[in-house]
Amino acid sequence: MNKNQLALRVQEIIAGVEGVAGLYPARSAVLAGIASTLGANETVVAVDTADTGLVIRARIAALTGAPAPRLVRDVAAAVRAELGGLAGDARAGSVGLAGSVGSAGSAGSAESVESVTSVGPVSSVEITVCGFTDVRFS
Amino acid sequence: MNNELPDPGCGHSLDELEEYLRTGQSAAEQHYLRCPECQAGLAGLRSLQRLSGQLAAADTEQAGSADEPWLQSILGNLRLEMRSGRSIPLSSEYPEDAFFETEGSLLALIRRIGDDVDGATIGKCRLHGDITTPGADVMIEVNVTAFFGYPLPAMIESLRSRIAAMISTHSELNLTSIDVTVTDVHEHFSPAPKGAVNE
Repeated sequence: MNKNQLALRVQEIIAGVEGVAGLYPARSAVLAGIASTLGANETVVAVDTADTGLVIRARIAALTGAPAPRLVRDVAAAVRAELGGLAGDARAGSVGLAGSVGSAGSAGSAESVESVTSVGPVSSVEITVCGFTDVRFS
Repeated sequence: MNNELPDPGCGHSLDELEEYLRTGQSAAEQHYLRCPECQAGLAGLRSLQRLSGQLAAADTEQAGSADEPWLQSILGNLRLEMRSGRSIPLSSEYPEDAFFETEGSLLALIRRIGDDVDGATIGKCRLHGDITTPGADVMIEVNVTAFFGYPLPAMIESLRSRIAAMISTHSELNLTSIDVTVTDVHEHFSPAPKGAVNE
């Protein structure tokens, strides 16, 4: 699983949490727009590797009926639980990133795929609620 | 509409959003759909459009043109609120995790509350205090444009109670006060039954 695949999986996990209305680009809407224009496989969730493991960053919209403080904790718990898989230790949930370093998509793609062969734990989850809405949009 | 203030954080201006609302088309449409600041701006503009339409229906002399000082004031505040603003921390189960909500998201919610209270439109809205420090005292300042015919004390109390409930539900801020000031009253609009304030 490369970073993009993992990011897409995390995106699915977050979008599936009750109370999440949708996700915004984690890095910036401008960069996401540029990537989209160039046809790059831009992911909404940012997945980075640190010495201590994976760092997951996401910006979400919350449904107005879902208390935000509880929602962000639910989102982080879901990410840790899903990535932890059968390990059973949600906090130290780990995921393997395998593959070779290369570029995604066609020539001219703005985004490179950084694939990693090591297996690391989920180091931290950073969730920011950027908006509230009455309806889901993703 | 003259945009005298700098563009919002994402680089798109209120003028661009207004044109998008008017024409339904924009090369930046995909951005607008994915940008929380632009979505907040669009919601604010839609609210103002409704207000302008109500005024136009009530009195063509107060048709709510963009030149109206009070409308300019609301638009100016809307521009300010189209920034994500400060990051407000939320507590996490694990110390290595970091959770936040943006100041802009809460301001947009407060503005929506104003839309739900009959006769009220929120203009200036600010969070005062060190909202980036958990537990710090926070005060909310809200200016309101009201329509004549609605009992102002009940309107203000409704706004205060709704804002307090929202802050309690959606944040961990230590809210100490909510100051509501009615800055404008429009006297030519009274289509709704007097005394009707949503609860």
